[in-house]
Amino acid sequence: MNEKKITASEFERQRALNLDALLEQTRVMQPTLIDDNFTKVVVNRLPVNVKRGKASSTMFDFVGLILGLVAAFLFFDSAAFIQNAISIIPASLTLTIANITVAITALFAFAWAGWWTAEKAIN
Amino acid sequence: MQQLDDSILIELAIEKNDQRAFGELVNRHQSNLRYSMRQLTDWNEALADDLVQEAFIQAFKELHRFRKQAKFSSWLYRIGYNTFLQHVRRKQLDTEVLDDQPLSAPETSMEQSSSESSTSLLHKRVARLLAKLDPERRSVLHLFLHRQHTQQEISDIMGVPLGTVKTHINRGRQSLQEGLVAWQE
Repeated sequence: MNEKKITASEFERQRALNLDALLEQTRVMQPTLIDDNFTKVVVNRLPVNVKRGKASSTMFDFVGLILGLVAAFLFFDSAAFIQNAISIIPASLTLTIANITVAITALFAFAWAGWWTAEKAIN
Repeated sequence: MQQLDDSILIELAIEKNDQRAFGELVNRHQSNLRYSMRQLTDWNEALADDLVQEAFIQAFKELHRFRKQAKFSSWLYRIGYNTFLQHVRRKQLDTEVLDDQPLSAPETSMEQSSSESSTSLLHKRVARLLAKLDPERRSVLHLFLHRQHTQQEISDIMGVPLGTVKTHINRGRQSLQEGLVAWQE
């Protein structure tokens, strides 16, 4: 007895307000956009010579890495390097305005470099 | 060519620079990509088709980077989306971010155009709603609501963190719903 009756226009209005229903409708009614002319235009614009050097450049990187590791193993005095690195660390640190400025500048530079690298990688 | 699997066509295009094989791939995948691009560009058909052409050419050049365990259509979409983003950045096109504001009603000429079929109007209407979102959110919403990809798939396709995808979906849905209500009033 308490059933709420809605008019046809109200039903249409509610349906139009339903985002999922609207999207469902676009999915079902998605047009087929196939055009031979479009394909021809794309194919005509394709470059004739494409350099796809992934395999060769990867091999080059790999050989370089191996050579670098061998050289490091033969000529690099790791114990002395660690000693030197430890000796660089100061026993005490006094923060000055100049230190903080340099640190903040370096931080911004690294952040910008990170952002730039990410942008380049995406594109 | 029409009988061959996508992976074989890709192999032919990479190994033999076979443009006919790539043409077949264009034939197979153009419809979805052209539709997606129209949705991203507020149904600007000419612009969308230009961007899709650019995307296909870019895909041809980068074909050797395609990992075969991924779906070619998803990889293609990512290239298309990046092409669209580059265009937006170049032209500073429709980047009005209105997520926190009520959406404006569409122009009456679009609603009242009697020459437009109702189907075409429906797609334009959704594109107009999406156009009010920033480009990244627009793409996430399109992939989620129209293409019905999972959140993880969208994250993988667009190279966006999963948390960002979730935020885009929640806030984007809300914006679209508000837009729908605004149109009815």
